[in-house]
Amino acid sequence: MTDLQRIMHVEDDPSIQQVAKIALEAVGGFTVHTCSCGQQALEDYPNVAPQLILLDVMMPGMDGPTTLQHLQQKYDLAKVPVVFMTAKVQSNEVASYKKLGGADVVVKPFDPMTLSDQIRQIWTDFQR
Amino acid sequence: MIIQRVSSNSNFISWAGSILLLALFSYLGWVDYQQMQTMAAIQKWAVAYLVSELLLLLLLSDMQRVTRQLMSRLRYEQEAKQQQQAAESKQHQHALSILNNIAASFSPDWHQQMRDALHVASDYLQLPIAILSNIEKNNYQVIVQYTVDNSLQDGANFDLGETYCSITMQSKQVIAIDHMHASEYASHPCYNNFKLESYIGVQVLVEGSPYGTVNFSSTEARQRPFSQLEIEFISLLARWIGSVLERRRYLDAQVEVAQRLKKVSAQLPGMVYQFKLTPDGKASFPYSSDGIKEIYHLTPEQVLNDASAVFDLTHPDDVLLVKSTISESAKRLSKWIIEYRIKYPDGEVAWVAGRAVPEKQPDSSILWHGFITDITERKQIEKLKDEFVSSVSHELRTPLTSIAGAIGLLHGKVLGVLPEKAAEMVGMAMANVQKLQILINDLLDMDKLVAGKMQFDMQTQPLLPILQKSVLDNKNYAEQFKVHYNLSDKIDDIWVNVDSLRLQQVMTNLLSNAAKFSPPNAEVDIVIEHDSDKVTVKVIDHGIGINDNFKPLIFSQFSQADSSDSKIKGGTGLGLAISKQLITRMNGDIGFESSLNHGAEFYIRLPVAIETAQQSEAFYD
Repeated sequence: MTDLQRIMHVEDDPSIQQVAKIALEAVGGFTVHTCSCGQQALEDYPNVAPQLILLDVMMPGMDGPTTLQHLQQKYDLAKVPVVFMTAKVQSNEVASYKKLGGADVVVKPFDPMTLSDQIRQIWTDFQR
Repeated sequence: MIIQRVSSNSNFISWAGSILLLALFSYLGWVDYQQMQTMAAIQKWAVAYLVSELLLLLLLSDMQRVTRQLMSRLRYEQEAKQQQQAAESKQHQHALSILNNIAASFSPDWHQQMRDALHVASDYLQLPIAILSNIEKNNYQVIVQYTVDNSLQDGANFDLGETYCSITMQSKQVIAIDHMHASEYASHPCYNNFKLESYIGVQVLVEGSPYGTVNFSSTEARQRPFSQLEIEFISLLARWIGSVLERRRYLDAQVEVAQRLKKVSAQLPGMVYQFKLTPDGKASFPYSSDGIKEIYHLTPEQVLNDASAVFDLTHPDDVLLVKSTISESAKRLSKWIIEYRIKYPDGEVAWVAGRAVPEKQPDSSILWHGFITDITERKQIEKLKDEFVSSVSHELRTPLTSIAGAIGLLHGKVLGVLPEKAAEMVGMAMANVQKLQILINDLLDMDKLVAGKMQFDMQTQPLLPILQKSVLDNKNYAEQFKVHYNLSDKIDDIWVNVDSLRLQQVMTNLLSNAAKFSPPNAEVDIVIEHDSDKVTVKVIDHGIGINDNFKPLIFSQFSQADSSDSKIKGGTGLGLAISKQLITRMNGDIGFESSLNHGAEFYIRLPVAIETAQQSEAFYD
């Protein structure tokens, strides 16, 4: 099983971008490439070649699910788990995000100290 | 007859007298002839007889004549009396027919009706001044009058002492005076002022109390005295007037009530109505206030006998709901409370709220008394509020996510070790950020629950793992208070039908409360009991317990036993209110037992999903 190293984080809020980057890089030891919108994610994807994408649901312009749709149309995401990030959700909503092609959902506000473990767990589950 | 008898008697007397006289004089003649032995004696007695006979006949015929005269006079008098009786009876009938016409007359203007009556009565009594008065204390007010020369006005006031009615008011009888000057009342001020020579009047009673008088008068004395019939006439007239006034009062009271209702209901922001459903399914609005114009753009008359116009205007998507709730209300005689939409012909839509109480009528129809009001604005505001809450919560959460993240990183020493004081401050900031997160989540949950918009993902699943996860999640929190959870794992495999996240939320609430209110180093026991159809989960602490005063409020919103609690212990006061709503929605119930200083025992009770459990057991085999 390959270790998770490169994560692409798509998030419009600069503060959350920064917090997530530190949480994932300083605590988890990952490399994070941050995109500020769905369009940028589509453009940067080939250069970054992320192993996992962390995708915010609510974004101005192109929202998370739409970004995922475009990514799937353009690239082969079979081996790249996409994790949605969203506000407190109900269990049936989680199911609907999974149906959209998400590997899992991370609830906002997230705990920066355990976020990396959570992501690593999702990665491990996805590899099985 | 009498005359015939008198004449036959006199005939009999004449015959019998004649025979007696003949016998008497024959005997006297014969005795005389025995002594005298001459014819002269017989002749003398024969002459005496003839004279006596003649006198007898004369006497009798005179008697007969006198008798005849007497009899014929008698007969004449009798006839005269009969004629008079017939005339009186005719007058009586006339009076009655006048009274009857008066009584039968109807005019919407009762003053005019009274004036007509006084006119007719005045003609009948041949007295030119007719007055219906209202007397209060010493004031005599002319309510309605009829005067031949129009000398009086309605509404004129007099001092009661100046009128003959001061006498009438003291008597229950009809006061009738033919010639005032010759009567005991000649010194009455009324006679001095108005020179009224004849007067007839009587009290008018309304609902048993004196109202005033009806009286007729004239400046001329009566040529013949008031008859008994005239006295009875006015007495009946007074009674009829009294009953008209009573009916008037009753109608006025009804009109007043109707007007009051109309005025009051006109101020209501909606329509007040009665809705009737007969056993054959016919619907109508026996009463609706003018508010129906605003609500349905219809008039009360348009729906008086047929309610279909109202149903035609009900929004097509809501017609079934409206009809089914009405049938339900009719069946159970339960209050009808509903919100629905109206769609006007121009396509515009309005939201209305209706509420009504049904009442079964003797004819088995149902009559609702109710109120419908426009809530379009409220619905718009509700929508705005929903949008506001949802956007604010999102807007709040975004910065909160970065604050919580940043502080979490500092607290986690990811960016280096902080000086001791700074670390304390960061710890405090982190605790408060967590409180803020809980507060926002609670507010959003309460809002969803109250609006009935919270979705439940009900799954039949084992109970124990949910409890175990709840305990695990709250372990860190409890450690702050040095409290330890003690979950008995010796329980059967019980399955329940719940939304696991929601049940965890409730458990988190109970567990965190138990930890918060426990003394340091205390244990909190989580005990599971069950019978065939219910399972009870108890969270038992050994803390301060619950004050009696607070017990009734414990499950209401924003309630905390001690207002300083929020500062010491944290929490929004929404937790238990939300838990109650959640458990109720999952078909369970929640409660507690506690006495002050002996800890608290909160429990949730849920239905056991036995059949599914058995199937699942079979599956696991």
